Amino acid sequence: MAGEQPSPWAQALVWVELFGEHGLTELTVERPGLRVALSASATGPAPAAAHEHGAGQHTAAGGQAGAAQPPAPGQGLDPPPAGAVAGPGERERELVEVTAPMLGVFYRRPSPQAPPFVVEDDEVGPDTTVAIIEVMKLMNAVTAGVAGRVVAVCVDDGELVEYGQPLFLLEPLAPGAGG
Amino acid sequence: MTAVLVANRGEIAVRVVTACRRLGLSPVVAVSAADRDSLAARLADRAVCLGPARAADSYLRTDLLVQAALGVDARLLHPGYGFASERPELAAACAEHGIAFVGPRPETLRVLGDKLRARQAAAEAGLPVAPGAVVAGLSQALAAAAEIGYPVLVKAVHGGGGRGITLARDPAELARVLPVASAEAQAGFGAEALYLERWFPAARHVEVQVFGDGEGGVVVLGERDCSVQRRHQKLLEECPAPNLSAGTRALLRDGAARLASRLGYRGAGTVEFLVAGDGRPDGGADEVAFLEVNARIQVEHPVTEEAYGVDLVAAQLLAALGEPTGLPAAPGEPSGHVLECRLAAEDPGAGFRPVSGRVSRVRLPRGPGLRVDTHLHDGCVVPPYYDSLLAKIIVRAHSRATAIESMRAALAATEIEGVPTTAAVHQVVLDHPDFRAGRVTTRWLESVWPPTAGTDGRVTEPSPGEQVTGRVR
Repeated sequence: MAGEQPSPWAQALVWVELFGEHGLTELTVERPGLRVALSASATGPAPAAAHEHGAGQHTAAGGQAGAAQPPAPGQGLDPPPAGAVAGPGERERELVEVTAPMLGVFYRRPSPQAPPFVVEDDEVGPDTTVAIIEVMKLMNAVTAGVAGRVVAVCVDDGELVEYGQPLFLLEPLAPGAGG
Repeated sequence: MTAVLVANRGEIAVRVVTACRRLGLSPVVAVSAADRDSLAARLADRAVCLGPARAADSYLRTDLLVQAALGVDARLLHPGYGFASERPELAAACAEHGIAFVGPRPETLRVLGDKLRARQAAAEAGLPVAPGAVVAGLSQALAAAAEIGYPVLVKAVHGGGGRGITLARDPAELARVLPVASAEAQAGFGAEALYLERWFPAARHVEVQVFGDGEGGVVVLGERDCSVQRRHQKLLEECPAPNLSAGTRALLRDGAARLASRLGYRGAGTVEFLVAGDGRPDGGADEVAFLEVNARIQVEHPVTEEAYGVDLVAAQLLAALGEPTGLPAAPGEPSGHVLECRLAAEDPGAGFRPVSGRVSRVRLPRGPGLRVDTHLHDGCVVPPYYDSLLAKIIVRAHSRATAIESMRAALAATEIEGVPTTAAVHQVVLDHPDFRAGRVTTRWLESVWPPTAGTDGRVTEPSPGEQVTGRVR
């Protein structure tokens, strides 16, 4: 059927590609029906340090370790370690999703000939317009919501997006940092 | 495969998905963020999220609904009941974009959505309408009320949703409530025009199911009695309506058919009436007054489906596809009796206060002649944003008395844990001699529930100037 969403596997592969491209050490993405946890450590996602002595007993660790993690209500996969794998001084990069405020058609540019509002590596402010969502000929501007650097564009021009669907991944910029 | 956008939630979304499956259509359910995990979303081929939980940001956004239908390549849009189902602009937007709206034409919805125009259409079709008049100012109102006869209901002409309706029982009371009603109509609906209508203190609610081919052809599928109500909300429905004289039955059915035919009505609709009196021994017609037309599938449609052995929702979809509906051209009289009890997530001991929460466990009844329409499953959430309806228990039996016994057993076998339900009210109703005799009016329930109140079946009148609110659907 036309307009079908990509399969969960196809979506997961996008995250894997991004993970490699940007040299991330940890990445957890959650959306309805899909949770992907990626780790660059050789041993793969492991329980948090507090549970390391209980080797092999991972089943119950998920929920407990999750308390020290970014929100992870699902229990499908163990959460990634809390930055323990990253080298000294290398901060874990937590990415922020810019999601669709409503269902509609996603446009990256103000008109077909114009350049995109933003491209990868652009820095944006909270009020920067990053996309347009069209609902029955009405154009709704989408703003970034936070200051950050565009890491990825998740949707193709002209696609139907649903409410809450990730449109962009941003690496947040600390206030006063960057520049 | 032909895709159908199901633009609703709850049990009716499940019902439409079921009908799509029967016909080999591909159901796509449009959901709010609160319903991503709903049973309808699970059963459909796909769910698309319109917007946040609030209905005004999701299910009521006709632009999002049409956009969703276009986005998933839906050929049909089924609006269910409530929400945007009777909005002419949704039907019009569908037509404009080549989507078949599963319901009447936009112009039909415009006529029926306007109290005065609907009433006028009914009168032109020869239906009895309650005496009433549009009035401006007190002297006109007093003159009109004298002609109509007290008590009268004072309504905002451009009102809706059952809001802004006041009762006046004599001229002094009318003089007192009129300025207030006028100001409220102005504030609430932007026009202070008022409408006076005869009030029937003890009447039954009887409605006729019609199905139109859009060109004047109409199939009438009997009537339903929906008199068991609390605050204008139906609780229990049955088919056929008990204790209707042959004359009244013919008056209702013929009137409904004429009205639907004159409107060129397309699809399923319900013509609602008040019936005063409970069956004349001479077989003549009781006093009957047209109320309104509900231009959509109704909550209580399974009662008719089970009585007549039809699938009204499938018929709606087939009609929208331009195919034969599968309905009988001349349905006979139902051979049995059907009852439906609505179970809602409400606390009947606390004024039917709606309750949200998680349904930890559901056990539904099973047995011959038993049907349950529901969106419940173990662990499902009843969100606070929408209607409280949880399930409809429908029983069919060879007689009314047997159906009542069957329903009592079905309710006793139903377990819904986690939220309170209206089941206890139904047991009181089913056990009551008035109900068993088939002689209850729309205000009867107030006299038997809560049980501590007088149980003599006496019909109480609203107190002077009382706001009569709520809406039957």
